Amino acid sequence: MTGICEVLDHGDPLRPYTTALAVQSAKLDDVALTPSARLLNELTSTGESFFEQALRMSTFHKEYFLDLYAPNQDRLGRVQRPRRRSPWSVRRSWKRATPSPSRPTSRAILRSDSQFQFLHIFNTLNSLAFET
Amino acid sequence: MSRRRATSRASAHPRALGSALTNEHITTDFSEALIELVTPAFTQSWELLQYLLDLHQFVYRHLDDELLWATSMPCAISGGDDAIPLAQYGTSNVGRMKTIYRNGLGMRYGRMMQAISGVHFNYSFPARFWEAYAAVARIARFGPAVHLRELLRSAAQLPAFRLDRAVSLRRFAGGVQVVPARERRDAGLRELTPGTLYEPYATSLRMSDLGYRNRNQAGLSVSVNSLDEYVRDLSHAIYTPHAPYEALGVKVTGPNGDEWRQLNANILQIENEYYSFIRPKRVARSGERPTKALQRAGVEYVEVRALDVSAFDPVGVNQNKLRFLEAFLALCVLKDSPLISSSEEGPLDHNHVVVARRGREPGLTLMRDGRNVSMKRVGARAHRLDDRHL
Repeated sequence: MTGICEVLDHGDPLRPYTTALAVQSAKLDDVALTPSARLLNELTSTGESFFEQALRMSTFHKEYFLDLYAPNQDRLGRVQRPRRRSPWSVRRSWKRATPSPSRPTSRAILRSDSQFQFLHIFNTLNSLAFET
Repeated sequence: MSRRRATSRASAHPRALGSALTNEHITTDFSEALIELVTPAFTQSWELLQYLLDLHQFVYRHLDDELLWATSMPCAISGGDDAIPLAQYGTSNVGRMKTIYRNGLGMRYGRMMQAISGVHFNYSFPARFWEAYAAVARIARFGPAVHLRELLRSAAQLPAFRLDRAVSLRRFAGGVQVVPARERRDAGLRELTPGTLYEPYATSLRMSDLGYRNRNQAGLSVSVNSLDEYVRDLSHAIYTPHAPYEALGVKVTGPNGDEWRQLNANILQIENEYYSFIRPKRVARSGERPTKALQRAGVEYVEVRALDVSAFDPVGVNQNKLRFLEAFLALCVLKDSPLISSSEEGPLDHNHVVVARRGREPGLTLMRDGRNVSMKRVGARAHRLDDRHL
């Protein structure tokens, strides 16, 4: 996968895909890095039950989101609207409300005609009767 | 992704979050207490994460004193199945159908298992990639409509994913090795603290035989060697009656009139009932079955379902994981992937369960080509790509 990640990095000096591969590969060599080991280590060091641990983390997440900068009302407005649209129209309206990242490299990647501009397509509930 | 709304009472889906039936981005999964957050399609992972953050910010501002549970596995559900309310979608035909389907799931597999949440990652490569790949791989039959059926077979993406998923599972499993439920005691789990049971070396009990899997589907074999075989096997399951489910009853007449208990008594009520780790998908037309959509126009994207909700990431997933999955799926497409024989199905499933329940065990071995091979070696081999593919 190293070669694939190099292609996906597309010359980005931060090498995001190569870095992602390294992070995940490290877990094969050191189990302590796996999420399960980290959770278990916390449980044994704190003496919490799983319920107490999960409740603590859930509470922390809520506080994190409520303490964040004020949400973008334009983007949130689109979350609320129930009408069905194609995934591309949703994306176009969301992008109008979302500034691109400031790093020049990221902007270049967004504008580039990379061979690997991957397209993420999500279900849009067009087939409501068969969606879980 | 689905996340459990943690509440001390069996409350309905908050009205402030809109209609679960029609809201594109905030709906419900199995239960009224299981929020499902759905993002639009993006070409960049940071956009996806930003949207997830937006969704979470919006949801939290309308939850009052409730929380979104940080882990895939629920706990502290007292009252058993009866304490888990089915998701409600109103009185329209499609709304009632969705609730009846969920009632059927609860009767067949138990509601507790359906309360487990996770992250689904839907992904596709652009058309230009497939055109370039077809040229490199010298695939003769390739038309401008980009029907991925032949490419799916040639690329054998799904078989490659199945062969390698056991190793990747260890990376992403959300530490679901603790299950605080009395009914899990008979599963051989150990007690860590009072009320908390665990497997010492597990990586994801959600993905194990104790989690979001069920023995009822253990005998169900759905080929991923080609789209035609996949559709054939899945269609067989959704059209074949299953005696134990017939015994549960489909439409029963009672003192209050007719009661629909499940959509039908077939092996699978609908395609989505099949618990697979990855699915070939296509956005279906209104009223169109998923299998018909696949037959009509081929595979549009794949749905990776093996990710636990990460308690360490406020939105449940992070960019490193998304980028790794992108690269891994690309590997699956480019890597040589022989067809999976029926005799290989058992060892593949065995490897998956072993990694889920014992993936951190020192010296763990997996079954590979009829031999026991160390998991580290399997992982190293899984990521190699023959130079001729680059």
